[in-house]
Amino acid sequence: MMAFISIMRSHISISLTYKMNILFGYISDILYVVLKCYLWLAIANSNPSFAGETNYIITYFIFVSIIMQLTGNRLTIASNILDGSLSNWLLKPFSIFKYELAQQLGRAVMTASRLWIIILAIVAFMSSYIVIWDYNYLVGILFLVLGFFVSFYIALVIQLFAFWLMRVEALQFIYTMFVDILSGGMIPYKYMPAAIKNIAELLPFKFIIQMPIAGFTNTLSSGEILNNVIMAVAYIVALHFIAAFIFKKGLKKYTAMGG
Amino acid sequence: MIRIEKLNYNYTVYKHKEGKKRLLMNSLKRDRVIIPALKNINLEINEGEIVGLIGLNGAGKTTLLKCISGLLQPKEGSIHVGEYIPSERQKEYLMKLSFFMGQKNQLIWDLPPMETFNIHKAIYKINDNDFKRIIDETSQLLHVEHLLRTPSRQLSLGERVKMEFILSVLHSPKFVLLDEPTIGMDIQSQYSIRSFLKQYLKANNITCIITSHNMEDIVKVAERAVLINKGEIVYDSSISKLIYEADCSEFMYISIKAKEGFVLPEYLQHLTVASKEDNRYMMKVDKSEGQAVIGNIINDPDIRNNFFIEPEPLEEIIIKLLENKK
Repeated sequence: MMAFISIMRSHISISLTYKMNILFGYISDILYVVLKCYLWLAIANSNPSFAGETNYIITYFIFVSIIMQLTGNRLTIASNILDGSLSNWLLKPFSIFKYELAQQLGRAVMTASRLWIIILAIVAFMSSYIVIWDYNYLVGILFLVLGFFVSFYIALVIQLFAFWLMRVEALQFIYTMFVDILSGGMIPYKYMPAAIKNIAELLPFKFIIQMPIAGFTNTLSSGEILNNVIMAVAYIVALHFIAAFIFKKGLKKYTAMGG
Repeated sequence: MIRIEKLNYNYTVYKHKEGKKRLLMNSLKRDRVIIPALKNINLEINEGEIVGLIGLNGAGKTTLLKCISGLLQPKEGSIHVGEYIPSERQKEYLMKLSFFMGQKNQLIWDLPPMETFNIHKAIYKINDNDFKRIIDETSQLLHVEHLLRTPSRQLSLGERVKMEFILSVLHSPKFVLLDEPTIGMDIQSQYSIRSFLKQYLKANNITCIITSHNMEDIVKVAERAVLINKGEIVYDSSISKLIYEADCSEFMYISIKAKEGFVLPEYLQHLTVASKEDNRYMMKVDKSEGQAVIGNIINDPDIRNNFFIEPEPLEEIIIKLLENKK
């Protein structure tokens, strides 16, 4: 556990090393949320079918912007396989999965610590559009944590294909497209065509955005919460075993390039 | 003890064809070439023994170390390191193993080396006293104690290699694999590393394999030399025997420190000048005429106080050994 915390702490230290980068990080956070909301505001105002829904859409995309940053990840295992630096971790008595997880948790902690500035920006620019729901923070955070792990393991499985493909950027791009469309990040589930929505409900991508939002906005019944928690845990366990299987097979292909 | 039996390892390489027309074809179809990197390797290394692995570029030295460390999983042959099979990557084995790769960077680029050391401490569960003692000892020895809290990206190559070296001994390993341990280091640090290794490895009964293109590393640290050429072991003997082969070679070298305006005397002109740097001549002499040449030098007042005799350099002996086995 100490090793896990040390890795997490070092990742946080790296994030805090460059002052100007921190400043631009804050600016990009604010711009991302505010610009996305104004874009949707323009779309909602110019489209009669969204009449009366403007505030819902704006509030939804504020959530999307925040949750995406918390459940997203930037894994490095594929590049480590490509340049051979994976060897450094394979030689240590510490799981490479745990190492990646510690780094991503460090990143999520840093993102969470910057949330106050996003919230301030929202209050400053968008407060008149925010719908006040009967928020359920407990369920929201529960699905946020589950979403983080689902997103982590899907990304991990994709990155592990680098053992065979060497470069996985194209695969990563396809994954990002699926996440954008099927997680509710691009279109709220309530506006999705029924056929796509039915498929999306069965896939793990909904845990990355849709379910945390549904949890926070208290739109789930107790039965739905239970079913979805079981489904998310089942996906996480399955993805963990798939990743472990691919990793074991991949190690046989690994040639530890680069000297 | 390390025991390797009938080990074979092949690399698959995809060759690109040349020519403008091949630009597209290279991405569709490439020639697949199987390169045998290790061929029927049999090797036994006793507990506490220090072996120098010598060979030219691409001979298979690093591949062999990668197999022993478990990074590569060979399909043919077997490797046992103590009670462990490296490819199984047992935690107990990894706790006792250290693989120093002079060309690989383990330090966290944006943070001082001490941060990487602290992660290492947590992973290997090193107690506070040992951690402090090893860092103090090694950093003083390598003259980097003042750099422990400088970001790694601001260190020179040699300074980074020294920090990597500290990292590799921090967890008191029992099996140490050293691949180019003095790469990028100044001569003082090379000397310090060799002195440290010789004392440290013996005092702790560590089994070690060291590879280096710097023969001093091998001669000063190892007690046994294994020559590897094109994936095959071609020579396996003690370092003292290897040095003896150099001493007993058919050639010797006479080094002359020349004065200003020096002209090579007639009795030396038929000899091969192996090297000439500033005012220093290195003459290659067949031992059969050594007595005559030395006799002439002793009678020559211009030279007799400015010469010395050296055995054939170890590098040349090794190249000869490799060529003889081709």
